This record gives sequence, C-alpha cells and structure tokens, in this order.
Amino acid sequence: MQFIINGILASASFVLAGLACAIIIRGIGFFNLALGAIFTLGGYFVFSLHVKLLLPLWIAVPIAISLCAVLGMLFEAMLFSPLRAKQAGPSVLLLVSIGLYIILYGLIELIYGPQVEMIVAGGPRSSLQILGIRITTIQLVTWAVAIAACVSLSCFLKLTKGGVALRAVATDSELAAMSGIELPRIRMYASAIGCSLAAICGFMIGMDSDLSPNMGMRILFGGLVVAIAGGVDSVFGIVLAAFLLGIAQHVGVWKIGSQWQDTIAFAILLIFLLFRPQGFFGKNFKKAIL
Amino acid sequence: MLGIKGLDTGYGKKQILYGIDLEAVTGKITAIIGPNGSGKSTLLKAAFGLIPVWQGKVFFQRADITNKNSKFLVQNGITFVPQGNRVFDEMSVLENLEIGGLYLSKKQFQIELEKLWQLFPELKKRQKQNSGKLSGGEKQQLSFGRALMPDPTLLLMDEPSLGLSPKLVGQMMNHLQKINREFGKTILIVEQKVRDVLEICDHVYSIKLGRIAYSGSPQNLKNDTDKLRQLFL
Ligand SMILES: Nc1ncnc2c1ncn2[C@@H]1O[C@H](COP(=O)(O)OP(=O)(O)O)[C@@H](O)[C@H]1O
Ligand SMILES: [Mg+2]
Repeated sequence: MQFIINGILASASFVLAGLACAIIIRGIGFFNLALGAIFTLGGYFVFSLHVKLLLPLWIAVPIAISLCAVLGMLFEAMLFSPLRAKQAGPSVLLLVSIGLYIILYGLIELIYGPQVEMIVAGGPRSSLQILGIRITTIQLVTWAVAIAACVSLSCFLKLTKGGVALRAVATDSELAAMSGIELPRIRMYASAIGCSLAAICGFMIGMDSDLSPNMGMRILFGGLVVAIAGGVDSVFGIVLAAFLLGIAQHVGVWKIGSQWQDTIAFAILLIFLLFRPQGFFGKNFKKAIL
Repeated sequence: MLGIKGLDTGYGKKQILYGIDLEAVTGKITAIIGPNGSGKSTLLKAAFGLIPVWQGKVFFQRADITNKNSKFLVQNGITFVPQGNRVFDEMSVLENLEIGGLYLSKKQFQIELEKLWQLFPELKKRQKQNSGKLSGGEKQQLSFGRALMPDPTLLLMDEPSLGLSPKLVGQMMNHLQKINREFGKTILIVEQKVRDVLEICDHVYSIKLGRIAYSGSPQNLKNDTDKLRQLFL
C-alpha cells in the first residue's frame, strides 16, 4: 500500500514530462528528441543562476523557463520550419532532432562537466505528515506545480484563440493552413510551451535529486510513455498514465529491484502501443504523429 | 474579381498546369470541370497560395495576390473549401467555426454565427457535438460554414459534392445558390457532378491535361453532349 501511495506522490514530475511531450508531439507534428536536452537545461540554468550567480530562486526559475522557451522557438524558426519548407517529413525531422539532442548534450557536458551537481545542498529533506502519509515538501510543491500546469494548459487549449488554433493544427495541420492559420507561428508557440513545461519539470526533478548531463533522456522517456499511455491529447489521461507509471515503478523497485525501472516503463510503452495506441482516452498515436 | 493569367505550376519538378487563363466574375458562380487528375485541385491550391505559382499571376480585385499566404487571403476576403469536406474532427462544431472566424472580433463573430445558423439550422442544434461524429451532409455544411465565417467576398470550393448521396448533392447545390444570391458571394467551384453544376453556374471552364479546354456558358455545353463527352475523354 505504501508503495502505491509513494508511486502516486512521485508521479507529479511524470505529469509535467508527459504534458511537455504531448504538446510537442501534437503541436509540431513529430517527437522532437531535443526536448530531452531541455529537461536537463531547465535544471542546469537554475543551477547557474541560483548556485553560481546567487540569484534568488524566484528570479532564477522564471529566467530559466524563459530561456528554454526561447530555445524551443529557435528550434522551430531556425531548423524545423526551414526543413519543412524543403518538404522534410516527420521521420527526417525526428532524425534531425536526434542530432540536435546529441549536440546540446555535448555542449552541456562541455560547459558543466560530467559530474553530478545539486541545486539545493544535500542532507535530509524536509517533510510533513498528512493523514499518516509522509510527503516531502518538494513532492508537495511539484504536485502543486503539476496541477497548476494541467489546469492552465486545459484552459489555454479550450478557451483562448491561440489554444483553439493550436488544437486545430494538432488535429489537421493541412486543413488549418487552408483555413488561414499560420502554421510556423503556431508551431513556434507549441514548441515554446512544451519546452517551458520541460524546463519546469527538469528544475523540479533537480530540486528533488541532483543534476547530471544525461538526466533529460530518462525524463523524456518517462514523458513519452506517459504521453502515449495517456493519449497524447487528453490532460486527464496523462495524469492517469503518470499514476500508472509511478505506481508500476515503485512496486517494481520493491518486488524486483531498482535496476528494472526503465524496463518497466518500456513494458508499459509496448503494451499501450500494441493494445491501446490511442491511450486511455485520446486519439491514435500514429495518426497524431503522421 | 479573381483573375488568373498565364499560370504554370506543379509539384517538385513535375509541371501540372500550363498557361491557365481564368476569371471569376463578381457576383457569379464560375465552375471548373474536367476529368480526374487534370489539375483542377492544383489550380485552386495555386490560386490560394498553398503551392507556389511558377509563372503567371493571380489577381484579386485588381491587386496582385500571387503566392500570398492563406492568412493574408482570408483576412482580405478569400476563403477555401478543400476537397473532401474536411473538418477538424476532434473539435466541436462551434470550435470549427471559431477557426473559420479566428480573425474576427467577438461582436463580428456573433453576427456571422447568427447568419450561419439561419443557413444551416442543423448545425446549430449540434454546435457542441464533436464534428467527427457528424453525418456526411453535416460535415459538408460545416466545411461551408467554416469558409463563410470570415464573411469573404470570394469562395474557392473544391468538389463539395464528393461522397454525398444524390439527394444531398441537390441540397448542397441549393445552399450554393443561396450563398451566391442571398449572401452575395462570388464563387469559384470545382465540380465533378457536371449535370448539377451546369444548372447553377454562370460560366464554365473545363481543364484537360493541365490546360483550359473549354470556356463558355453552361447552356451551350448542356445541350452539346458530344462536346461534353469530348471534354472528359
Ligand atoms: N501533392 C502532390 N504531389 C505530387 N503530385 C500531385 C500532388 N497532388 C496532385 N498531384 C498530381 O497532379 C495531377 C493533378 O492532380 P489534381 O489537381 O488533384 O487533379 P484533379 O483535382 O483535377 O482531380 C495528378 O496527376 C496528380 O497525380
Ligand atoms: Mg481534385
């Protein structure tokens, strides 16, 4: 029972990662793997600004998020948009994004070094007791952030012109263009939103544990599993899928050992791709990507 | 209203259209007919800036709009109904219309919406429904509706009858006439249902192998079965 509760408590970062992946997959029409580096950079930017430049967190975090959002816009404006103009399909863009990830990963390791860094000094984490369940402060904050992200993203997608346009592009980009929507601009926004969410996620994970140059790939993988299992266009499905992944990993660690965490995530991914590619609620993943 | 002069275009290096000259006169319905694969859709796409024009020019109300993007065209009074009556099928009927009216103020949007509900009362009843669940005829109406929302002066339509039953084709042609006469819209329409479209259009062009093969009044063509057969051979 404790494992299930711990799994749920720990799944807030999966929610954030899943939202980031889903927005990217749906909004820009392919899975931009460079998002992996953005998770990492979200943590490292805060590290630079807060630990090295001694800015307070409430200044450092918004700057870090903005920097990642700008990177997301640059990916679209400088790289993917020109490639699409040259008739590059989703698979070509996916390959290019692998290259982009490798470059960014190399730069991160070059600048920060391969060693592990921390945003907050180690030592026992503060925690509190609610209804007999022990929850760390950072878990609580991460949940608050994840819920805020879910609510504001849902409102944006349902209630604003930009959000409705983004959903139109996600549903049928060609028809959206024929209706007078500027695809490059909407994709740039989608990329900025996805990268902002990734930066927040990377930072929250960095607060909970430590930073390393390759941390982003694992988060990205978790996010992909959640996005697919949840259905790439359903916020509620993503929360449910995050629970599923969190519980499965915690129970898995308890039953068979922590080295199996990624295997468990991969098993969930395969099961969903084989038997329920549309996720709990959403549309078909293949249709969403191609 | 819309003038196309000496237009060449194609896909990649493959040329599809050769020296197309065409005019859609203000307040009229102009039809484009021709066999499958002759380049009718390609012509509309080039006129609407969805594929690049290689040679020649497109004019709208005497302004050169060659290779302008679709946002510019929508904001300046041209909208497009693509082939297949496509709708944003994961979104509600109302949201589909919001996409059509994306550049309108709230007030203008309401005015246009009221006009549209009058024309398509079935859509009003289903406004909250997911548009993927609509029937073929309703989807067709919604794709007209999306294009009507910005209150355009000119509508480009690509085979709105595709996949409709004969009864629904008749209904669609009625709507088309209403849009033209009561709403005062100029229409340039590609159609395969030749018999039906000849009844309602004011001028007809036929495209064959990427070239204009006929331009004239529908009356002449209606009575000349040999000519019609030749155009589709
Ligand atoms: N996206 C495309 N890429 C390459 N060739 C195309 C594309 N779309 C259409 N074509 C080709 O252009 C020609 C004209 O097509 P189209 O304009 O769709 O014909 P129509 O609408 O008259 O049936 C056809 O030979 C078709 O194969
Ligand atoms: Mg066609």
